[in-house]
Amino acid sequence: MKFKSYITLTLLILLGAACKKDFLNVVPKGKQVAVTTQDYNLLMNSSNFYVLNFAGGWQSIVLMGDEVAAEGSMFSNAQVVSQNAFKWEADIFRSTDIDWTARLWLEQLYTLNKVINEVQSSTGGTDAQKAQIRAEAMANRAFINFQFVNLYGKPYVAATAGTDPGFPIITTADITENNFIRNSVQADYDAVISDLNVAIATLPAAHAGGKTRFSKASAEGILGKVYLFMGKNTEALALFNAALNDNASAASPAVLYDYNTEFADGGKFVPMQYNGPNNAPGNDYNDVTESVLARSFYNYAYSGNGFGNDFLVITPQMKSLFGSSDFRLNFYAPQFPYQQENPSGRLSKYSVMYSKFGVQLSELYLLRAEAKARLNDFSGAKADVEMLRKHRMPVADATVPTAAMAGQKPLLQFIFDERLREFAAEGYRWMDMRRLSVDPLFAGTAYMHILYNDDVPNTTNVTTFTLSPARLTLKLSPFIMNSNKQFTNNP
Amino acid sequence: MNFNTLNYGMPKLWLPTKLVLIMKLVIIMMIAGFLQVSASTYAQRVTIVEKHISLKKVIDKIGAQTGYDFLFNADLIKAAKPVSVNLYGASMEVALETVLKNQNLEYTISNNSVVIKAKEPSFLEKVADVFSRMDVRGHVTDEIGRPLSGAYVRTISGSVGYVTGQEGEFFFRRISEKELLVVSFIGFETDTVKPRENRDMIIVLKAKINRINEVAIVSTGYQQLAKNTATGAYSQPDMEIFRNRTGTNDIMSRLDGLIPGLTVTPGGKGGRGNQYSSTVGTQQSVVRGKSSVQLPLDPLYVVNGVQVPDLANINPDDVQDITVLKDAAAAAIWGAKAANGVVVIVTKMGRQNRPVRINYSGYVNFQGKPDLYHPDQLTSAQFIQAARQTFNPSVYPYNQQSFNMIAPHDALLYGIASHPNDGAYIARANASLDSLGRIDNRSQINDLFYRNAYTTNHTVSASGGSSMYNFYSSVSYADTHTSDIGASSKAYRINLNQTITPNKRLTIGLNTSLNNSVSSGLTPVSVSGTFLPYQLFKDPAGNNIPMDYMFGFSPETRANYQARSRINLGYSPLDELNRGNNHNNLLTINATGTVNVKLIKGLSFDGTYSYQKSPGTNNSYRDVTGYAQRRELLNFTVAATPASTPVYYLPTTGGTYIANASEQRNWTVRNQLIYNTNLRNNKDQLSLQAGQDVSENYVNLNTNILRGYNQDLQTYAVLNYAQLASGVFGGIASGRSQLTEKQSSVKNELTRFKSYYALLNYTLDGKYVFSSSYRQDKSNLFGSAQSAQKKPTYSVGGRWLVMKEEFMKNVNWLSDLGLRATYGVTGNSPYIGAATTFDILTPEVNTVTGDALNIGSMANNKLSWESTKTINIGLDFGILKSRLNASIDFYKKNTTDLLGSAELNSLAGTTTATSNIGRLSNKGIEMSLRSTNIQSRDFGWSTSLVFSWNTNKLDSYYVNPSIPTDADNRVTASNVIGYNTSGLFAYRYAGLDNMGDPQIKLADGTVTKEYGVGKVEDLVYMGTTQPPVNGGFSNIFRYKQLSLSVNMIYSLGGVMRRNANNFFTGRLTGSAGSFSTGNINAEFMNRWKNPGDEAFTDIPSYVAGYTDRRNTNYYTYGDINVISASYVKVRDVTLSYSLPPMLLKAIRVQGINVFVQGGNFMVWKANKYDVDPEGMYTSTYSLGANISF
Repeated sequence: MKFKSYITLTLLILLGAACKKDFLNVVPKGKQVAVTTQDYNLLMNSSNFYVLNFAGGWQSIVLMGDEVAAEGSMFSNAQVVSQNAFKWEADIFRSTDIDWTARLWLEQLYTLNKVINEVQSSTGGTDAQKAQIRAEAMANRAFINFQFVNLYGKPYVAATAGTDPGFPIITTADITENNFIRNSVQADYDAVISDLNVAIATLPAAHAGGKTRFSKASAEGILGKVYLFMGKNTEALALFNAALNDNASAASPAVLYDYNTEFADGGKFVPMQYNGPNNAPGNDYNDVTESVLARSFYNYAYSGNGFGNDFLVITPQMKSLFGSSDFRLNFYAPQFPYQQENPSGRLSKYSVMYSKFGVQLSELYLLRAEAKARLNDFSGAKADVEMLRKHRMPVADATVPTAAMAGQKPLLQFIFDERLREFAAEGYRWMDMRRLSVDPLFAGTAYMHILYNDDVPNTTNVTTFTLSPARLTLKLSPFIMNSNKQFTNNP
Repeated sequence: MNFNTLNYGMPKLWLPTKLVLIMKLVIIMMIAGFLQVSASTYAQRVTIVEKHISLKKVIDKIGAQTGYDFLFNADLIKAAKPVSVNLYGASMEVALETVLKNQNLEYTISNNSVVIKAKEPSFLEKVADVFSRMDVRGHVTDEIGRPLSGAYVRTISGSVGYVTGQEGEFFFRRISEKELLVVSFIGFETDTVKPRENRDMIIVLKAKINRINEVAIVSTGYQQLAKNTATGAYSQPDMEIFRNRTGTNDIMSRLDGLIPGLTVTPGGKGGRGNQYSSTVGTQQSVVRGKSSVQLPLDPLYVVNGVQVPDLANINPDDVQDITVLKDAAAAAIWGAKAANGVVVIVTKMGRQNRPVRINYSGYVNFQGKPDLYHPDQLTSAQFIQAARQTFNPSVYPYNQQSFNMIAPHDALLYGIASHPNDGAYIARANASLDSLGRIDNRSQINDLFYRNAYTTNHTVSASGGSSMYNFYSSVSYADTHTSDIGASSKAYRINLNQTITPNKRLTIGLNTSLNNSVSSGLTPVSVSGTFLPYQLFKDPAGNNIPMDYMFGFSPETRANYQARSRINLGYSPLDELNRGNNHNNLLTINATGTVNVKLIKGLSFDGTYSYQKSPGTNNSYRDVTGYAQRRELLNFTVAATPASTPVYYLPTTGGTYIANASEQRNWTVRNQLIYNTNLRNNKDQLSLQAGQDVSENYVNLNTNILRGYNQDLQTYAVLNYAQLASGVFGGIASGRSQLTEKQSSVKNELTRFKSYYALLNYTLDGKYVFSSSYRQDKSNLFGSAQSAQKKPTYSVGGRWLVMKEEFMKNVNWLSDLGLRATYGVTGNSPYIGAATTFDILTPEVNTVTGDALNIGSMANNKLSWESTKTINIGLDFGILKSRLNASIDFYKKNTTDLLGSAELNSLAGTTTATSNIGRLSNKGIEMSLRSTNIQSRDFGWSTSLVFSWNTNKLDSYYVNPSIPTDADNRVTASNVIGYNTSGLFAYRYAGLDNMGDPQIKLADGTVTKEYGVGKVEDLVYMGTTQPPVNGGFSNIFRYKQLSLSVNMIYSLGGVMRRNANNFFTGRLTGSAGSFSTGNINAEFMNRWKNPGDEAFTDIPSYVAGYTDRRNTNYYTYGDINVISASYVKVRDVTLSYSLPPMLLKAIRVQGINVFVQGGNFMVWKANKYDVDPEGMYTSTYSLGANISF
């Protein structure tokens, strides 16, 4: 009997151990995989999308605008990539440098494509929720692709866009994917427009998750800009109108700070500190008061990665664009990063650590003004520009001068100058230089960069660099070319 | 219930014994107090020197020394004649023969007891005897049932003897039923059994555990095998050296030089170890060369059959034996984790039918203080001279140093530069500089920041057993007293191993242990010999010297910040010691149960059930008075001017308390069936084993951060984390400060494995052994796509016992000869989260825009674990009756699917991902040799030599396209295809030019200094940093009660880059906050200074400021700075003394052994720069004792 009971016990143990089929089907906590619709929603809420907090974004093109110059003492110590960008070298990156601009956006594309391709089959959400998350990811993808085509493709010219090489259109999330081709500039624009149209049709006027998430208003704003870059002014105007209307109807719309108030006693931007009005949104990517869509990149001293603006000053011409009562001058001082005084007295933007480059309300007004001006609605354009100006300076000085109202070209010139006053040293200028180069009204402008070799005012010891038209289109970095030998790089 | 029946009582008889016990304890304490300790083994040897002593007393002594019970008629013994004996280390048989000689007595040994009776039977008995004679037949086998041919079976009366035949068979005709059979065989313990008539008696001999002869049993954690019939490559250390090696308590370190093919890596601990809470870990080691590039190389650790993450919880005194599994036949049963080899440890067990033995062992090992004089740095005078020479205020202007350190000598030099016309100032500053040059701070560093390090370990153990129950238990205490002031690290262990055998079908084993390691520390700064050489820390009056410059604010900035924030920004390193503390406490509870049930003939069930739980806490406290805390607070303080009232966003009192609580729970369940049978009329033996192994590891971690914590009241401040995370504007010294820490966090991780395995062993004719294993592992690490895991590991092996062949019968000089050959596949599995077949998401905590998820690791479907195919051919032989035993192994390992980080197409969204990226191969030769040179009564000498040679080659590997294959990148590259994975390249150095710039010689003979000119072929391959040859050489000498063992280790054929001077540009000063920078290599003094110096020196000139006219790496990475890393060291030398029996008798103790040991003495090194390739410049010394009752 005893012997039999041993055998029985043994058999029971062996049988017991053999079952439990689901033993290995556990995903460890803290390391989850995306299953529910909410998982995908949380993926879209990642801060990676709205703040590039150490490198990436428009860092490189900040150094390439013609409104900036370089101070030699800081320039010689700068990173080679930063020097190359400023000098408009053909090859900005050496083969060992990491191209953070492309890298961070490509990482985002992976997540976006994953969400776009998978969210429909997630569990626990309604069809409407899934459609909205997918639309948001598509808008985001369009935003990134629009940046890529404007960095690496030629400025849009309808006649040649179909053959100009652009950037690969990536729609899968698979790290082993290897067969990429450079789509044409036209194909890139088409893909961007198609994604944004889906987004506009699906997204709510404002996202419940706040302005770091895509809304209908922000998708309209981006699409308007895309059309304006293509020279489709009528379509662009309609979208800017829609964007401003949808923004205004939102529960917490983007609004402009009135600098007349904020720089007065008790205002948000005072007291001025040693590093300027440091309560201004430029130091806080979470201050999204003026953003329809908040997207920020790190735009300050070299962080250890990417580019740094340590040596950057604005040109005397740029300085002269400001009226003396313009409060935006408060954001500049003869000071390098880390509160080092610049003995030459030339100005640097010293209180913007993070530049916003999503959809800013101020830009929407200026873009709509431009569209109106191009469509010969001068008074409409004037109203939009003044709408912005009166938030930036005493109302008395905000009026568009009569000379600027003399015709389309002077008015457009004034609007582009206003863009500089609003966004100098933040990368916007490079995008404008590109499209102005193919704008018949402005074609033929020559651009120059000045490197001041002495730390003294009004020095004549300078080195100059001239921008050749080919350089308006950046070369793909070794970071991309190394693994895609089949690509023909830009000249 | 009646508790009165629980009577463990001591009979009155024990009272005097109690006194003796107290005496013994006093002796322990005395010896432990002065000396301190280690262990030695006790063979059952008898040492008695007595004249004219009663037989009773002699027998008592023999009983006490051997542990055998004696049964006799007291009257008979009383009547015996007194004897005089003179025995040294005699076997019990010899001792008994001696004392019973000339007595009318005879003895029989059976089952640990000795029966003594009258020799001459009576007449009646003689008559009865004739009628009770019988025929006896049977077989002699080893413990796993293999026949022992050539064993000697004799009757105890000595009248008949028989040498067993091929099948171990014997036969006796008509012997008395009162006879006993004595069975003996070389390498086995002699046994005495009662004969039985008319049935096949199976006499099982136990392998003898003998230090000089190979230990006969090897354990794989799944099986016990007789070593002389095993097919795989197994190695076991000399356990006596292992036990005596008290320089360290780390088990792997103690194996250094004792196992052919096992290289213990000098330096840090870690590897697979406990990554969550263990404060110790296990020393890294490599078995048979690197078979992986990016995964850890540590072997798998197995204790009592169960895999463990590290060996930190095992007391070396509790280790019974260690087996290292090296080839596939040995290790493949551990499957996907065994490619790096397996270290199998079996802890001590009690033995059946033994009286309770108590043993104490303990030691203290002294390590002293760190060596501040290596590497050789500039003296203070030289430093000041060099600082003057390199000072260049136009290249390094003062106003650009606002965030750099301005050391006292810098301040003086800048002062001189800014007062060019103030002669008095300059003279004063120069005098100050000169006085700095006269200070050497190293003795202050030595006195103020370090204390003498030592470790000590004490173990008291008891073991014993009856026929149904036996146990081993130990209690130990270890104290690791490091050189850091205020640090404490202690371990307490209790261990109990029990075996219960209620009947012959069932055996139950239970191993339980409890480990508690408690450590704590203060927050001293760690000052090294490379810090500024003149900076003292205490003035002559004993006050701490302020060193406010250390953290890189200029005096003006500091004054401004201090005035605005009202926070003191003064700093002195000695003040920091008590401004923080850490406390760690880790408890590990382990219980492993084993069950063995014999089901039907040959078939048995075997179960192993293990559960381990280790809760731990790790708490740290940093007071706000600490400098780092003050600086943090400064960043979170807003005060525009000194007049405004500062607003503090972080608490200004108390401190930051970080409490980590961890818990690990691991369990393993193993069920297996074992079947053994004999085939072909017992000519062949078959053994089959199959089972399932399931395990789970669970880790839970909780972290809480309390700020403004008051240690006395245990209160803390409630912070507005949302506001702090979105940033505080206008913080002094920061502009904007953000606190992104999470106040609490929770993390848990679950790893599961499920494996099936089978083992087969077949022995043909007792001469040919065939073995095979198969295992399949699955885990949840790769998500649920288990189809990716269908990749079994397996092995096949064979052994030919040549000596059993007919034609070897007459070869007498050879005592053993075996040939082995094996082939198989083992795996190497990545750690959790290394790669997945799904996108794994990680949470992001965001108080502003809400929590979110990010992709932590991207899915990779084309992934499998590394697999290693190993071929091993081995030869074992013994000559001159096993006076000399040797094993030689040749192996070749091919590893494919190397896991590593590879750069993928950047457009796909990731730059690098874990992928299967290459192949490598290892080959090598291993040899171990043990010889007994001299063995006599008073003197003995034995030698053992361990040798291994390994080389590996990377056959293919991922090449990063973004790293150019030029000389400048290759010179620092590892893992170059076609070379050893630890290959080292160097420039062909061609001396200096007339500007003091280094030049190299290219492959075409050109000499150049041009930057970036080198191609790959211009470099020279210098060899490998992983030494190809290493091993150990041990000699043990014994003279009477004294024994001396000298254990050397050697490492040959490796190369290394030496630390040459690499200061060629920049400011000569420290970096802010660092107490290990400041000074530079003394060779700087011999650098190129003037044209023409290139004739005398190879050391490039100093040039202020960056220049691209030269590349100083041409010198530092030049071939002249690659030196041989070969060395021979005495790892330890031990002199031990066993107290003579006379003394032991007086104090009624079985044995006392005391020893002194010294460790780590350089014997020879192949470099002239006084570089210790192991980086261990100090020697250690131990004292210890071992006492047995």
